[in-house]
Amino acid sequence: MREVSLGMRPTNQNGHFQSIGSARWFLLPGLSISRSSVRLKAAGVEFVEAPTDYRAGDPLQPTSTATTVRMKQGKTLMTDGPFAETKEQLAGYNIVEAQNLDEAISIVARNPLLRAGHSFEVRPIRELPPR
Amino acid sequence: MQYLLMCCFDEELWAKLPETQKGKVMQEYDELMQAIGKGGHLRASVKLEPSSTSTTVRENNGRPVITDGPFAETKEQLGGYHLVECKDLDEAISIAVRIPTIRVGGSIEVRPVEPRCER
Repeated sequence: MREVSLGMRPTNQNGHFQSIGSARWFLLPGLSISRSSVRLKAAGVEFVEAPTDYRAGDPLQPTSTATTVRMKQGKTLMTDGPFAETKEQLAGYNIVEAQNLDEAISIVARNPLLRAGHSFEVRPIRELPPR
Repeated sequence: MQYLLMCCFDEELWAKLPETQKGKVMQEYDELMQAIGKGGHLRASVKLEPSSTSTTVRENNGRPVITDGPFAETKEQLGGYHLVECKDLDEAISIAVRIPTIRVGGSIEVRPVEPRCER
């Protein structure tokens, strides 16, 4: 079994971090904008029910609502839009608990958003030292 | 209103920074996280392993297709994120501009979470 970090760290009211388990994977559903909502409806996908190995996640509003902050020569620079203008854009994220990459992929493979043209990037969460 | 602050950077550029500079940035980062935690804004934070550890799953003709690497081969890659509770976009941006990685070439994409799904 591969241990994959204590990932999701919700804060308590004092601002301290709590770890809530082990072996977490981060899934990034990338959405191809050109075929998003139509394909979603065609696939009968309104809202994906959370599987039992699901730990956290949020869908994001479209990239048209994004603002990107950078710094150029000591001054902050704000631009409308996402950090990279790619064909597929990040549509949200899920955190799942899995023993290894294969199990994380098997969870992704069941996600109906795949059939609606989404791709999923799967990446392990890095364990941070306790604060 | 919840906003996701997505912390992106050029991984090669970050790897080339001197260790002392990285250490200073991360120390400032830690102080900022404690400050925004105390301010009641921080809901969650996640740091990801480098994009070289990524696997991407797609579907083609009804079969899952699995490839190594992130979903898009961009110069900047997502390194982690913070989920923050803010009254509006301006407040979310006011937190984003304090994230010290922007001083070493990083960028922060700020995007609202779908309101019906806020935790």
